[in-house]
Amino acid sequence: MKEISKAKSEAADARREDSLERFNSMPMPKEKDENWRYTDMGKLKLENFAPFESTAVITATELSEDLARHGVILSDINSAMEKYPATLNYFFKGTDIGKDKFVALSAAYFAHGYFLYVPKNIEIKEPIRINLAAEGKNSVLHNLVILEPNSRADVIEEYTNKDIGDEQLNASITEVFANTNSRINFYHVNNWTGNVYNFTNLIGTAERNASISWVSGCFGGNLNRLRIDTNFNGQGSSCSNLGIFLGKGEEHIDFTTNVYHNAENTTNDILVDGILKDESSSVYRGLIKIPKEGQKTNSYLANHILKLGDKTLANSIPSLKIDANDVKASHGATVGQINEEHLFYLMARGLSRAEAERLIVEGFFEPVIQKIPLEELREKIREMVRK
Amino acid sequence: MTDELVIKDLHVSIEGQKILNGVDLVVKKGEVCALMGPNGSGKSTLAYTLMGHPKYIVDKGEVLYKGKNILELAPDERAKLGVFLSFQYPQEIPGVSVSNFLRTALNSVKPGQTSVPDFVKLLREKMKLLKIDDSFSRRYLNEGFSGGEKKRAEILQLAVLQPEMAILDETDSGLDIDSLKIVAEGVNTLLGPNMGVLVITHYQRLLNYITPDKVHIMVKGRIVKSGGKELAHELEARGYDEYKEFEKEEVV
Ligand SMILES: Nc1ncnc2c1ncn2[C@@H]1O[C@H](COP(=O)(O)OP(=O)(O)OP(=O)(O)O)[C@@H](O)[C@H]1O
Ligand SMILES: [Mg+2]
Repeated sequence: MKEISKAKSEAADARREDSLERFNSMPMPKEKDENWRYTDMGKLKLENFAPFESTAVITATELSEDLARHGVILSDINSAMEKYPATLNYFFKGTDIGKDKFVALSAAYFAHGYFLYVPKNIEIKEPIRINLAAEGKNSVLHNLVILEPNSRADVIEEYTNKDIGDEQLNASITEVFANTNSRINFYHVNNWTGNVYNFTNLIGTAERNASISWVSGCFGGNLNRLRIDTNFNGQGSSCSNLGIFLGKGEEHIDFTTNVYHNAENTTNDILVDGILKDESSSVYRGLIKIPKEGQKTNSYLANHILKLGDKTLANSIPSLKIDANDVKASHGATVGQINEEHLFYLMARGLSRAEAERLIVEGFFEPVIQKIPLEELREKIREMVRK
Repeated sequence: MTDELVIKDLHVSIEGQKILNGVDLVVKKGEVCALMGPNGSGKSTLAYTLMGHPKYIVDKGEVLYKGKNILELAPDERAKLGVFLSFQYPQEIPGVSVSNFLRTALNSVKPGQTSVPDFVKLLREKMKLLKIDDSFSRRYLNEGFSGGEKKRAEILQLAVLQPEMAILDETDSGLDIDSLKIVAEGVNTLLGPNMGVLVITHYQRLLNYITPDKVHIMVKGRIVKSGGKELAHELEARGYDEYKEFEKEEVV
């Protein structure tokens, strides 16, 4: 692993400056805003974090010589913007920064980030690892992943922090562009401790026949928001999205997925499962949008929440906005408590109540975990759940 | 003689309704007792109460085992004392594999006695004994199991955990003739001077394999008659009619 530095870049400065005004003019999101419902932003005072000087450390896989020779690039985002002006064309191609105050924050203040470029026809076999360690008050980043036609890559992002005994803020955006016929498995796991406000945004765009597979896990933090957007811009593109979260203490998790079926014959399958313990709360927001251009789309979304204890609070807001007539789309959400009969059955075999609960909790996630194609990730997520 | 299970004047209700009306029963170590009785007479209620299901409220009485009134113990503490219930209707637990569950359970009732490789061996051996396919150890506990498979899985748990006081609640129902034989023979190999068994059943079939030392008949939440193994044969021939009369007198 090597560190992704914070290089200087005029091109990046110019972009940041463009976004700054936008960021400043946007009000703080409120609970009554559709995209923030059930998430209380009242406690977060952004002025406590200004000027958002990012002290995070990002490390990444070192590319083999072979990959480098074939034109694969894994570098810091600032120098990439300087060296490869074409990357600028991709900046915020997948989302409008005006839609989300924290995306705008990343755009206006990102100090660093990684840039991964996979040229045409290149298949990267070993997963590319990216670790973010937030060591100070702020971590603000902007990452960019571009897959050229017929290429393939797996990316494993892990975000953690060192608890500094004070409020910490992470605002990040990772834009993923999967060009024609390319394929990416993108794993994002965050694991926060202490008083962390996290706003992580993963924005994917799939061109013709491209496929994106998201797998993500959210653990810890005071307010942990993960937003994943998928833009189906090319015919035949597809996406699967597996999400897992676990809330404890007084944590709040905000898990948002938005999909936009802008082309024909596209396929989307989302499964987000969460467990709430203690006095934690969560909201899952899932939007499926199919405009007229999205004929012959298949789009599914499911969300299951298991509440341990009466003091937890779960909200699930799936929504379908469909303007095309020849599509298949559905959503399902369940919120349930632990089954007392299950507990009794396990306890009758000698398991303490705590052990029985632990098995049931692990068992709840197991069907999703089984779908994760990478054993290493399956084990990692099991471990997080066990903690 | 503290290793016998002694039930004394047990009164139990569920959701305000009285189900058991003074049950007295003793199951000795090394002994097989059969408990029979018409549907709804309270047999499963007794089984659940012995295991500590929170829905069953004990209004009166005590259950002594190994010097303790086990009614005061949580279900897991009872299991750790050696009490086991094979459920009439086993629960399906999503996402928890048979082997993971049994390893955890064995570690709870007999801590630190079985290494992982030993456990794997033990599980394999008992699955073979009960003619359960190897693939079942990886399946989720009872999920999608057929009725008969669930019962076999209950006896697999019995075989692995080797309790000292086992209550088998209609383990024979839902089993085809071949399965019944396999399960009964499995139970037989586990029987011995160190295990007491309370077999709840409707049929003589099972008792042909597992010969009871005593047979008790429960009607309306009471033991109305006790006897030797011939009592089960009588029931098979004559049914419960005569006891229903008896019950009227008693209840009024
Ligand atoms: N949750 C409940 N609420 C009210 N009554 C109940 C409840 N559970 C059981 N009962 C009643 O208690 C009585 C005894 O039931 P139990 O299951 O103990 O009978 P059983 O002897 O095991 O019958 P079977 O031979 O059919 O298994 C029945 O009349 C049943 O309807
Ligand atoms: Mg019954």
